[in-house]
Amino acid sequence: MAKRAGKSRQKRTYQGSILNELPPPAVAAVIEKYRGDAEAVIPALAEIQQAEGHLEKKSVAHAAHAMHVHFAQVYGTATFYTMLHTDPATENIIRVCDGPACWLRRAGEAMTALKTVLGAGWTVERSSCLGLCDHAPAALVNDHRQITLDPADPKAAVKTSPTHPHTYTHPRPNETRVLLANTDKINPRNIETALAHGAYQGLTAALERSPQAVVAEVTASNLRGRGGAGFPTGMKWKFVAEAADETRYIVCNADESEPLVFKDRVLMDSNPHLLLEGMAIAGYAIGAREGYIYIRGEYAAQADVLELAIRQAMERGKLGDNIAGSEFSFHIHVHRGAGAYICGEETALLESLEGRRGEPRMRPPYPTVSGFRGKPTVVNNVETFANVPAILRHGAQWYNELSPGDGRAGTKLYTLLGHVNHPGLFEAPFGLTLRQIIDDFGDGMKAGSTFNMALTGGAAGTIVNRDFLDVPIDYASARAHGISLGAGAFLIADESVSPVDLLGELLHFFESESCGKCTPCRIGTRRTRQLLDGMRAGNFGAADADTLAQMADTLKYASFCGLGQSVAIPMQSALANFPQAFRK
Amino acid sequence: MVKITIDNQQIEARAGQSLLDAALEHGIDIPHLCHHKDLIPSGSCRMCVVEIDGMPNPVHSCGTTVQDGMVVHTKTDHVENLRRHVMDLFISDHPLDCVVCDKNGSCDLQKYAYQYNISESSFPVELSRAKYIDDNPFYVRDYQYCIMCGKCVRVCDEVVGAGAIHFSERGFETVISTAFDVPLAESSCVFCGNCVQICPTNALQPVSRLGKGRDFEFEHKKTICGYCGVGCTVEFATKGDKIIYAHGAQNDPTTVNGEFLCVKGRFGWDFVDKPGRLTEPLMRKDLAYELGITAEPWQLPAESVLEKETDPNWFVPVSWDTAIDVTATKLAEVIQKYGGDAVHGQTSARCTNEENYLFQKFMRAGVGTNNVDHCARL
Ligand SMILES: Cc1cc2nc3c(=O)[nH]c(=O)nc-3n(C[C@H](O)[C@H](O)[C@H](O)COP(=O)(O)O)c2cc1C
Ligand code: SF4
Ligand code: SF4
Ligand code: SF4
Ligand code: SF4
Ligand code: FES
Repeated sequence: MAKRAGKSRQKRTYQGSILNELPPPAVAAVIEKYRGDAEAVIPALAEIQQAEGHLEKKSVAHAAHAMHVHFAQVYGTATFYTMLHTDPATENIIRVCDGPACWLRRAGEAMTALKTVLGAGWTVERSSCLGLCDHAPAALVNDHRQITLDPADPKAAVKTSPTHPHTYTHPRPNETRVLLANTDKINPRNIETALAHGAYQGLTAALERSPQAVVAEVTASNLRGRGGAGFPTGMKWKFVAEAADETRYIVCNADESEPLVFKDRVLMDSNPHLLLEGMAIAGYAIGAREGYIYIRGEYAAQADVLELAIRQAMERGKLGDNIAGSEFSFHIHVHRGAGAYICGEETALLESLEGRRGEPRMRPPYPTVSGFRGKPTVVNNVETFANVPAILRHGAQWYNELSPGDGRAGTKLYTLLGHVNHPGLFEAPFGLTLRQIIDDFGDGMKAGSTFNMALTGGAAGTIVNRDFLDVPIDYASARAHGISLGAGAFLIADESVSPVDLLGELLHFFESESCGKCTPCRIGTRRTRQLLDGMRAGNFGAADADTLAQMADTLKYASFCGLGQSVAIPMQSALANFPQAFRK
Repeated sequence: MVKITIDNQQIEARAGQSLLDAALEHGIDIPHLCHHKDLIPSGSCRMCVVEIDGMPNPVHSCGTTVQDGMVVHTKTDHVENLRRHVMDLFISDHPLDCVVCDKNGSCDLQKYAYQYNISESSFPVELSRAKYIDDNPFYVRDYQYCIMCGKCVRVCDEVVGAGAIHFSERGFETVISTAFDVPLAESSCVFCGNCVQICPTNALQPVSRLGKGRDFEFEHKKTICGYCGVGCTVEFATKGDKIIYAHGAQNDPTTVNGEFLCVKGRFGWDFVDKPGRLTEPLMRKDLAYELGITAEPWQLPAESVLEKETDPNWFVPVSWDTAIDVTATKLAEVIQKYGGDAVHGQTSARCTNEENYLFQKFMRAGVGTNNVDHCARL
């Protein structure tokens, strides 16, 4: 066409192979370590980045070549994850959280301040929720130190803030502790302290029974997945245990990137052996010999805790070959992500675990049929696995009795944030109401605050008003009453937070974390965020609320995966519960 | 065979087939932008959503396997509305300058914009990428038109095996690129151009067609590629007596190559109207003089012919009859004098299998030698 035919076409000379340029020795060593291992693309890239500060073209080319993966695919993988970068970096990098809890605590202002006070040698970047909501405004320094920023003096905080996040070793009034029992006495870095308080006794109990009996016990316990969807765990295990293929895997979803959710972090930080034991029991039950923990890259500190715990458990014969003298062998590997919420979606997680971009897979086949390496795979959340040892020790009936009521069993970790007196994490049965959560566990609304709105479940949860204060919340309440439990997160807000602002922040998150594969989510989350930005600036179009409703419908019914689909949940509930806020 | 009902029409699908493929094979047109029958479905465009009785939510037909007794509705208000809205989103990230676009008339995006009556987006238009790359002699990449269907990535990976391009970045910023955006010639691209052919929009276009017209201005003529014995069907788009571009013939079950081509068939046709092209038999002038075909005496230059470029002035045109007669006579003389093994026969990869077979038969049975070979061994 005219416009382009006019461009002058020039002859080009083509350069020789990039492989002729050799990477520095430290990088070459990383490449050697992973030679031939296509699954190791992400750890290999992370280590190369550590060795030379960023991902240099020639290094990535050599790595791709050595791992037998197309160069373009490795590059595509590198650019997918926020913690990997191909541009030269400064010596230090600080990622400031812009998740909803940190937004309420003005992390944005702290970030702006940091940009001017830190100066050369520092890169200041935004990050989606870091899972440090109880440290808001939070930041991650050099990918390892999890800190709280002081908006008054952000520079000082970067230097001096304590580096290890809260572990909630002491219960607040009204808690029922099963998962967090004894965490005041357990040193996560010393397996002896865990063994002294019952660690691996559930595994011993499991090994005394047949695998089928273990699956039956977990089924009878009515344990449901704690990742958010509440799928019956026993049923999932049964599918895999009965699969024709005898190579099977256990995968633990420790990606925990849902804004407002940080329960898995606390579990891993306070008692890592509970997770390892739960995975081993699951491995025994379904006939797997290997388990993988996919942990988000921002939880480097927690990954270190897990790796140490695995080493200690292997030394004590609790993991590894022939556990406790039995025929059963089970090995656990820790795989660090590199910054992508979508990798919490189980099929995207598997893609990432296999070394690719975290784009969700077509389902069916489900992971229980074709999961990791195409083999039948159980994917469960950290908290789900952590429930299993107690079920084996105390039995399904005891477990059911922890939470009276239909379809409820066991306890749940709740994360409570916003305008309450005592935010943070607690453990309690299912079926709490918002009023109980605020008054019995959060010590009431802050002085001068009255309840106006809550976001329940997580970012992909429901936005509810006062009418919902007395609805008991469990996995069934989303469908039955329009208030979701999700991953157990509750953001409580008074009148100072407008539903439009909150929804705008959520859309900003979803837009940043959309994998970009499908149209409704790739373009739709951005258009929705832009529309809400306009509303936040006071520009309300007559048709805007209808456009939001239409967009929610498209996201819900036309998106490829749960990420895009679930964006509709906060949108539709906000529109339904705060209709006047979206029309001016 | 699996019996299913689509929009009240009973059809028989092959077991394991996707619902979309089954529908398309039976002439039921479910909108789709990211699907191609030869590629692994990706389910990314979301245009192919349909409703199936007994399923609570719409599903993508490209990623749904047919099941006996399935009752499918492809045109309910809900799915039509979803498609319209998805198109609205596409168009909010697209220049939509169809009037000056080479793809006008053969563009899938335009087809659906027409079908859903979308002349402009209901959102402010904002382009996610404006990457125009003109880095090789064969095709240009103008990613502002790209709709992220991923067909180029999949064909390059699954069919060609080159893996030259991939998705990079993520979310709204996702874009197709080579590693580190290196020029294609530095990538593993083999310039087969199958990505160009499969691209539903103007994002990938052969250089040879830029500004030369829209497909409805061209004639499309099928022929067999002359480059090798595989015999791929090539379809040339022509205007007047000029070739504009070549691609594989689509939806033609008689082709041996499906619809894909290699670099030679797709881009190597510019010789057809070059003046140096051989169009009739030529005889070297010294022989022609010896045979009385020309009156001018002539002598081969002293240097070896292998070192000197052949000059058209060394030859005179002759008829096919003469050329064949002289060749046969000379060949017979050599064989009679020195035996069949004095002759070596060499054929070309550009001949068909049948021609190559005939030629070795001729050498072995006719000339009486096993000295026969083929250039593809090089
Ligand atoms: C966008 C998205 C993000 C998710 N993130 C997580 C996560 O961080 N952790 C998690 O356990 N499950 C997450 N899930 C749910 C998983 O896909 C999966 O259902 C879960 O890991 C299964 O384990 P469970 O049955 O023990 O809950 C996510 C799902 C979606 C759609
Ligand atoms: S809904 Fe689509 S774009 Fe969004 S994360 Fe899932 S697959 Fe990716
Ligand atoms: S690519 Fe298609 S829709 Fe886009 S401008 Fe060209 S013809 Fe129109
Ligand atoms: S021309 Fe062929 S090899 Fe090159 S990118 Fe396209 S499909 Fe891949
Ligand atoms: S360049 Fe063409 S084929 Fe490739 S993703 Fe974009 S629109 Fe699809
Ligand atoms: S054709 Fe099915 S999603 Fe694109």
